[in-house]
Amino acid sequence: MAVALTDYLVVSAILFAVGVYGLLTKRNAMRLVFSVEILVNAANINFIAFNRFLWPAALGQTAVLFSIALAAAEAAVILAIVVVAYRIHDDVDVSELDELKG
Amino acid sequence: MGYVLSLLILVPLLGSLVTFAASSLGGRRQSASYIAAAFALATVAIAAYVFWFVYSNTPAPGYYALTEDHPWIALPGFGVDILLGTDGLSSPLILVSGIVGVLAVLSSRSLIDKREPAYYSLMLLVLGAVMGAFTSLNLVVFYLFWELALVPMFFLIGVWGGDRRKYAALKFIIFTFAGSAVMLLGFLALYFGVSPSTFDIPNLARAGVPVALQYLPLLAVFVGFAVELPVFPFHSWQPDAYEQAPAPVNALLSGILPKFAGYAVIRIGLGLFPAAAYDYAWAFILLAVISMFYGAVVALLQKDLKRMFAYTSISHMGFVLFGAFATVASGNPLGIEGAIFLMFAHALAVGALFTLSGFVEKESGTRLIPKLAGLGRRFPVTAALLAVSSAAAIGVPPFANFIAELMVISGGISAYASTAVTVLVPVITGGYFLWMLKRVVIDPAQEAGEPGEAADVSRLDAALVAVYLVPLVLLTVFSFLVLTPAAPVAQWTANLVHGAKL
Amino acid sequence: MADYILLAVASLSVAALGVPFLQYFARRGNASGYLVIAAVGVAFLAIAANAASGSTSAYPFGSLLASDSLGNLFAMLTLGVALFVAVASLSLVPSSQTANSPFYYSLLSFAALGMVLISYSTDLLMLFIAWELMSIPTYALAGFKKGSAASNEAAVKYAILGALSSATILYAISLTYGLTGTLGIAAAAASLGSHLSNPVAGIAILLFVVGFGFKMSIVPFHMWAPDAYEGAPTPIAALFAAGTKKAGFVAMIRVVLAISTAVALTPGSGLFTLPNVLAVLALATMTLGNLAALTQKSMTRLLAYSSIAQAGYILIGFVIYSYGQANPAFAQQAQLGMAGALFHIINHSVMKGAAFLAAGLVILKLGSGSLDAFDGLGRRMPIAAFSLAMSFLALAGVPPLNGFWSKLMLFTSVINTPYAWLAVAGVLNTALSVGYYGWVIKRMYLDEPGGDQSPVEEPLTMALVLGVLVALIVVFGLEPGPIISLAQHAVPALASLTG
Repeated sequence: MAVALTDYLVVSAILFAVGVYGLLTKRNAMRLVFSVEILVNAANINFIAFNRFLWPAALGQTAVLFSIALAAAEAAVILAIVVVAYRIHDDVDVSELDELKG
Repeated sequence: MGYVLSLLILVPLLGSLVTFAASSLGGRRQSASYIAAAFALATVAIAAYVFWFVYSNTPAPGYYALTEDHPWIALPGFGVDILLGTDGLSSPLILVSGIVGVLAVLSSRSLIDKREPAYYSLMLLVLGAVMGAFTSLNLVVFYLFWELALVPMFFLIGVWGGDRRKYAALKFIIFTFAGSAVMLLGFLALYFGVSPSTFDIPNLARAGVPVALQYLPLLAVFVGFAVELPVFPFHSWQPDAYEQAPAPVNALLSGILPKFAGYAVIRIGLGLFPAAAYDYAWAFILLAVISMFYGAVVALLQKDLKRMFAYTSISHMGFVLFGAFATVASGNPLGIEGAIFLMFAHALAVGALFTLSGFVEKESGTRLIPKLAGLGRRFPVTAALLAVSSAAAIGVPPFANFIAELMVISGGISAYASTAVTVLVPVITGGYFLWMLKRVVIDPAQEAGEPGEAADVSRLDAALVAVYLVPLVLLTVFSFLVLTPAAPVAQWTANLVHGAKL
Repeated sequence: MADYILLAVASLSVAALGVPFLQYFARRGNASGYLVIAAVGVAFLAIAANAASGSTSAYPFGSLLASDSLGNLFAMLTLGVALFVAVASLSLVPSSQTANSPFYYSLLSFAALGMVLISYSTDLLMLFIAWELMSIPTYALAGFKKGSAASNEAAVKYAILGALSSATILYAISLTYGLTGTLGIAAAAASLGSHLSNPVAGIAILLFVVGFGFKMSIVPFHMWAPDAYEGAPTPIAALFAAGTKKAGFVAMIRVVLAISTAVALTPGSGLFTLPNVLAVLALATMTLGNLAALTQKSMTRLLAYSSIAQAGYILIGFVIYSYGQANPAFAQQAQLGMAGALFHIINHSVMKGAAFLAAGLVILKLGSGSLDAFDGLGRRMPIAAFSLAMSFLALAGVPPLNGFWSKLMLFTSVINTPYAWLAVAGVLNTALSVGYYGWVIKRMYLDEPGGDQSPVEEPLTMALVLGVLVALIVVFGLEPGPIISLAQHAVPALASLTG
């Protein structure tokens, strides 16, 4: 049984939903970073699937290569910030971060 | 000659800069009052020239004298011109603003004793903005000058005012700014309403604002006017601001700023929205009459001299609104003529009263009427001036206020006979002023005050108050100076509204 | 001419990549600052030359970038902001940080480069890369105050929501790619015309709105802004409000307003259209921004909420523009509204730049960002207080300052359209905003200083920066013609994108 375009899109949509759900409910900074990564990968699956099934020119794959590189850079910076947060608070729970309030 | 009105605006604005720069950088602080007075005198001279010019070359109805057109923003799809001009409606207000401005600056010399450079600079800034508002014939520029008068007023009340000055200043700026913001909304609605799009009042009037675009914008514009006049129930900022402002600032705040709104009611409210004004005339007249009675009755209850004058002002500004809309309802130009005349007279009378309140407070340390008893014995000159100014405010015959109120009331009766009841307002006004005079001037002091603990008002200051009052007497005789140029405007507006209702 | 843009890009890249090496040579921290100021200045002049040369070539770098007036406008604006931020950083970044200052200025140049590229992007992938180039350095900049819990917290919140925003944009790009097979914005917009009935197109546009909305800090995507502005070093807060936020706006103009002209969000439904969605966002943004600003006790938070509210006013122009695209009867209003929005974007950068940098100076000198510290400031720090007062008056829309004209254009553009209620809401909001702007001015000029009354020294560079910004507020107000004309010229460039 061949895997169709819609199957990829459904997986991608589910991943996107999982990522948004994680961002809304989780309080652990690491989990939040994972959620964001899941979102990015949902988009990457879209690119690849569209490239494979609809638009044969390698544009989608190119986009994914850029996206992976950028996501890595982004994750590196965010993880560094989270490490600093851990040093300050001995914890990575974002609900502990309440220095700034109205 | 083509730049008279520009000069009228620029001289005080320039004076504002020069006063601040010269007296804070170079010379002594006190020199500010001399520099400011010089610029104010120059302004009043130009104002007098404008007044005389309009009197001797009254423009045809619907047209303006001394017009200037300086394109400011001239882009495809968006244009604002600095369009200046004057006619029989604005020229008396320009003159009276000049007179009040110069007297306010001069009377500050004995009443203001801190941070003079900033004070006089702001006073001249207000004066320049006032001149701009009365001469600009572009809605956006008019709004600009209107706002430009409010911001310095905020500082004048807030820095140099009485004990509750900060509260009063903040309340003043929030109310008036909110009112004028809503007013601006009414202006903006007109831009795409006519073709080609314009904010120029003469072009809008000539093209005729579409009737469908008149009703809501008139209401929006009226909110701004109502806050500034002020009209009941938009007045709550006014007694606080008038009470807390220093006396010379009060002469501008109560004498001139409400005239913005009175002027705009006639120029913009009636001139651009005739059909809507006609349909709503009954409501505005009702509001005006309520305001007249409300101001008079509440004034009766006041113990503070300045608050009493403040409510008197509400009552008198009700007259102005009443007169304007009486003409709308009846087609009889008498109402508008009376309103213009009353604005002129009221500015001087109330200017004199508030200036005096400053002297009274300085001499006796209080403005509370019950504590002022015995003023007549202790400070005879002040008391005499208070009595004469009160007579002017009541409208006792030698003073022009009498004619003005009479014109407004007769204009009103020709619209709605039932408004004859408003003759009671001058009666109440007379009543509470006389009662105040009895308590302050005639009654003996409750505790034996020591006469001579403070000096009576100086000769110069007494003369200043007298200068407020002299034109009022002269106007009774020479009323044609104001009324002749006012007549075409009043007639034109009456015709416009009359035409719109058909 | 594309060469000028290349020069700007090269100048910023060299600075961004080269400055960190200064750490090994010059121990005196400010050297890197001067170098980056020079680089940003060169880039600014290059862009200005590009604008002055007047030749707008559609696709100087393949189909990735377009040298057009819209791009020039935003590139000059964001570079101008970066320049002021860099100069102000010389005195506002605490001396304990100077050891790291080469990195600080390097990150600043990267962000400036990203903003320039966003301004010119006509390709979705290019836009995304530029977007990340701008965003990632700012995450680090937000947390740049070493050892400060507040600064770190700002960075965590800003970075995670920023990453969410980037991911959302990427997902929207992937959907657009799937529908059209292209990443060029103009081609995608044209191709989407044949997918009018496809709900995926509508979803993609909404996701773009959400993604860009985070950077523009429009309600309900604004929650990071007050924390990030308050915790970040104040010059960086100024960069957020006056710089990166504006990059969000240009991205919105380039992508959403170009693509959406071809597509209805849900076909057949009269209510769920892009102008309606934007209108609701505009109303929520200005109202909640102003209401929240009224209750703030910290200056930077007040400025953050005021900044949110201003984004709501700018959206009014977007609303009428997207409405006018579909309804030619309102083309005049659409042109005026978008010109007003662009003008307000420029003005907001100037006003907020002045406000944040003045506030930053006060916070640095007095050690407190609480509003109480601003009591009687008019006597203690006359230059900072005057700059704050002028920017507040301009933000409140007092004529004849610059903010007045752009608001006037925005409100005029919608008042005779079905969106007249936005003008009413805008004017009422303006009146509401006087409540807090006036309150702060009252505290600075009418109240007495609470404790210490002594005058505080204001550094010359800051006086210079604030003086220039205040002068711009006044000059743009007194002579708005040229700058409005600039904004107007940037508008047709949008229409041409939709082909």
